[in-house]
Amino acid sequence: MKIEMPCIVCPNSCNLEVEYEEVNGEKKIVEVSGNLCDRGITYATDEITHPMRMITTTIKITGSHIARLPVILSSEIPKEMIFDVVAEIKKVKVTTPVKAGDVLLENILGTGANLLSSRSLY
Amino acid sequence: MYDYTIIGAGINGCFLAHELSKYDLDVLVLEKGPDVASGATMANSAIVHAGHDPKPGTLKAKLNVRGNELYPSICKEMDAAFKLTSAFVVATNEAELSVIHDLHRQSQTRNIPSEVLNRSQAMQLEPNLSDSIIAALDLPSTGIITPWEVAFNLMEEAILNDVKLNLNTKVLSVMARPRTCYIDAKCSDSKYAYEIITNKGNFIGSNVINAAGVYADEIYSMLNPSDKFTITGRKGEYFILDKLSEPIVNRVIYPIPSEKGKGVLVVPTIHGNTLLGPSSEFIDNKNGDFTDTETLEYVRSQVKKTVKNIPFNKVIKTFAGLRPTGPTGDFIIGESIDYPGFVNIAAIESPGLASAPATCEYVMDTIIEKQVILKKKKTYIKRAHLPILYKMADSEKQKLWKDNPSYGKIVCRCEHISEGEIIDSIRRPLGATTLDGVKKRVRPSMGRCQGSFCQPAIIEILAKELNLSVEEVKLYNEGSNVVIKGEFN
Amino acid sequence: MREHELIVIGGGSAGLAAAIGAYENGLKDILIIEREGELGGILLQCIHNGFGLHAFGEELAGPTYAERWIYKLVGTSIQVKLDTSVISITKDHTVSYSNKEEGYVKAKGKAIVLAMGCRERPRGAIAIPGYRPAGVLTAGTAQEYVNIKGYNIGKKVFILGSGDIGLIMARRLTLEGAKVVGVAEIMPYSNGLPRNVKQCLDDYDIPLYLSHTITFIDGHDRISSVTISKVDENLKLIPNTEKTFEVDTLLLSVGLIPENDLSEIAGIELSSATKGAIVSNELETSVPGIFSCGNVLHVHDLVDYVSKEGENAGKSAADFVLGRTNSETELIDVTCSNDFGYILPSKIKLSGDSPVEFMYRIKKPMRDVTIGIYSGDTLIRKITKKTLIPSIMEKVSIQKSKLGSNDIIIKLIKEEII
Repeated sequence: MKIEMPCIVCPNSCNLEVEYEEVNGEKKIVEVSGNLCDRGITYATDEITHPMRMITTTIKITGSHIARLPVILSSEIPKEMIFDVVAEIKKVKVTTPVKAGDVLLENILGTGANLLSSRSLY
Repeated sequence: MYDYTIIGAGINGCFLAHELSKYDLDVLVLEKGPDVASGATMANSAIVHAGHDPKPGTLKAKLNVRGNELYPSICKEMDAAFKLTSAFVVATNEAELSVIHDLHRQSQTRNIPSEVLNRSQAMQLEPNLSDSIIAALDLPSTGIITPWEVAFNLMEEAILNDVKLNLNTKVLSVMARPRTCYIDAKCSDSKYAYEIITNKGNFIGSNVINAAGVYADEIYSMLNPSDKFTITGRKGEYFILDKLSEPIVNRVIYPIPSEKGKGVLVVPTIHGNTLLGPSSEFIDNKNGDFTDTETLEYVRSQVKKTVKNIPFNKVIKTFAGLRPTGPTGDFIIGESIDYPGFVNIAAIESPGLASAPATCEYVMDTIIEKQVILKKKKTYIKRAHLPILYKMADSEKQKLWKDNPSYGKIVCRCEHISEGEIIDSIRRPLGATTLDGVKKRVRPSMGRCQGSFCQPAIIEILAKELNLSVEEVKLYNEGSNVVIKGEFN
Repeated sequence: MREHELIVIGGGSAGLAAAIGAYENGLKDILIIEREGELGGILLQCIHNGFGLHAFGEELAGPTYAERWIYKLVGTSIQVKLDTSVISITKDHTVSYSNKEEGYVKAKGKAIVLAMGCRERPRGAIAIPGYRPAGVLTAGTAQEYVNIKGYNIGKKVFILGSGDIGLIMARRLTLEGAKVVGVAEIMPYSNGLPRNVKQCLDDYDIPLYLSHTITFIDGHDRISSVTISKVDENLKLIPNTEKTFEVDTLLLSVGLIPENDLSEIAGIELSSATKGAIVSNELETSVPGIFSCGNVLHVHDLVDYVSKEGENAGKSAADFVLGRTNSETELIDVTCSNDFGYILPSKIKLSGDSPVEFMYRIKKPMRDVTIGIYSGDTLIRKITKKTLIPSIMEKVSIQKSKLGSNDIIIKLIKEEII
């Protein structure tokens, strides 16, 4: 099987051509082309076998001039867990001060990903 | 018991409320909208026409000519903008040229200044006239105003002089009661007083002025179903262009008038924008102030017939308004024969805005003076002038800022409106309670971004000033909340 | 009147980088004027990731990227005025501004960098027919409401326009529990980056209606539905293709426009193609000593490029103030054929030896393209691309020695329109 997919790893948005075969219900990558960097190969492989996604959202913060603190994960999580992970993140509430990169929640739902603050608020 | 109950706070309701406030009378104004000037007064061409085209012998002709005379001094007195721009009626062929000559003669008989210009004379004054224009009738007494500004200022002064204004108050029924039921009725010899039932309580008025715009027919038929007239909404759709470095026109450009009215115009506005429109289509929905693709396309094609080089890429807004059109082609202004004390000011389509001060004068002179004894109030309070910073020199602005630093904080970057002015617009006697109310009073969100940047800040100012939550702040009507109650998730 | 070596108008990604660029190139008396209460500009509400790959070699969320730049100011002599609006700029570099602390005052800059960013096209600009209820807002305003203020803006959402902010807000609102029922795009292709179509729409099964536009907004008070129709290749509506969606919110992501109100006041020549200033390769506008960079110059798709451009503008401003530029008046013009949206810079000073970086955008998506950059009639650079799409700005750098002294034009040599 040969398919085209836009690489979502970075804003370069490389148009990847991915060749894979399916043996006993398991997908295996044969070749990836059109990528500007190696991350494209990893992405294509993951996307065919077990898609991963980054999540950014906001959580409530008190003590600041703004009502929401932007947050990000330390690493990608399985795509099918997006809504569960977001629900878990939304339970977190913080108070100032917080620094960019502060870990606000560890190993969310066993994914290995930590919740990080995207900015500092004092 | 009110001496006068005015139904409708459009331009005519406001003029009458203001005039009556000068006398020893109890006056009540009932308005179904959330603000003054929420109907036709909000959405029209904003022109004080010269009075050149209404049919001879009509109230329209008489009141338009007189209104045009009255506006400059009234605007000055009311601290509202008036700009004498002049206007062209333009002709593209011989048949239209003869109409221009007819209008010229008609203008002369009405003592309206006018002059027929040939193409090159006209082009000198308006270089963007379309190539097909062969002549123009110049009408130098034509002016422009901001209609809602006039209405706000009149009503605000009326309120200061004890007129009571009830907003969000919809009239559900009007009933005539024998006058004798109300012993404190001090007004003349009518045998009736009028009970007005609304969604917010009942009111009794010795005299009623029905200035309810497109709904004037419904109001009158509540009282007198046997003598009813019909008002139909005639929709006009418009484009507004951004301010341009070089104005596309300096004066109002009319095509030759037709059965449908004055036609599709190109109009400079007080604040340097350009208005294109209106279309003219009857519509059976009195709430139907929506725009549609075909009509906007029609407006686009029509304005190109009179003016070229229109930068349609500078459109910042489209809107529609409904003109209240009556059955006779003329205004319906008069006291009900069956129900003395009940006055209709109805079918006020174009030139209703231009006629408004004269309509008020006419109603006072021919009707109200006969109904009551007019005694001037001993003290009369003038409305305070509020600062408009973008019109001021830096030194004047600096003085204001010294007293109140919030005049130094610009909230609307497009129109340079300060936080102080927005707060003023909420705190003044006829204060804004909605986003549109703030916008119509002091202009934030009127510019090219149309509020994308400043709306979040204005919502917070409104919430704070009115002691509301941001979720309770409305764009305009009931139900038009911008932020929804309850959190995400 | 206070005088500064440099006044930077705007403290977003372009302005921050310009101030840093000028500082690193020798200016010390630099003032940044920012209208909001903190530095960072629109990045503060762009909480998604994808920023910084070029500038920092890692992928950051918008606020983190902004913070990295803001921290660069620490320890420098760069001054900042927050909550301060510039009202006008004159040709002689007088900047009128106002704030609560000082009122209405003027300052002068030996040089000025314009870094005011861009704004969104509102509903009125595209004349969407219908009523004018609440619940119709631009994607960027929605982004501020949701990401900064934490407001609920609606539960059932339609989005017009497939610009990146619209796509990102589709995902954002979905994650916040709203239902995004569809996105309509009048063009036959998306205006956003392909990766955003994939990860913001496809991931959540949000349909993208290409070649569709909104023909009616219903709802007198709050929006109750939108109707969309298909358009043909000339963008004319095709009858009987209407679909209606019941919604309580409509977001508009129908284009960004460089915000050049102040540039116009200053009498700076603007380009009808970019809606930004006409600039030289030193990012100098038609008014000497006034420079322009970032989204106020042309709308970028990558913030990293905005920062780079800001740094370049800052360096040029420093060169101007410190007399390191020669007052060369002979400039060659740079133009593009009709296939391109635009090319920048518009003019090139031939003196000096730094390479010139050209930035261009194609008008329609194309495949297997060969582009030629010509000096007069002479081909000086041939570029081949597998695909070119309007949402991605392309860059190419050419040594000055290769440019010759004729005007430069960029043209297509071979293409296949997708």
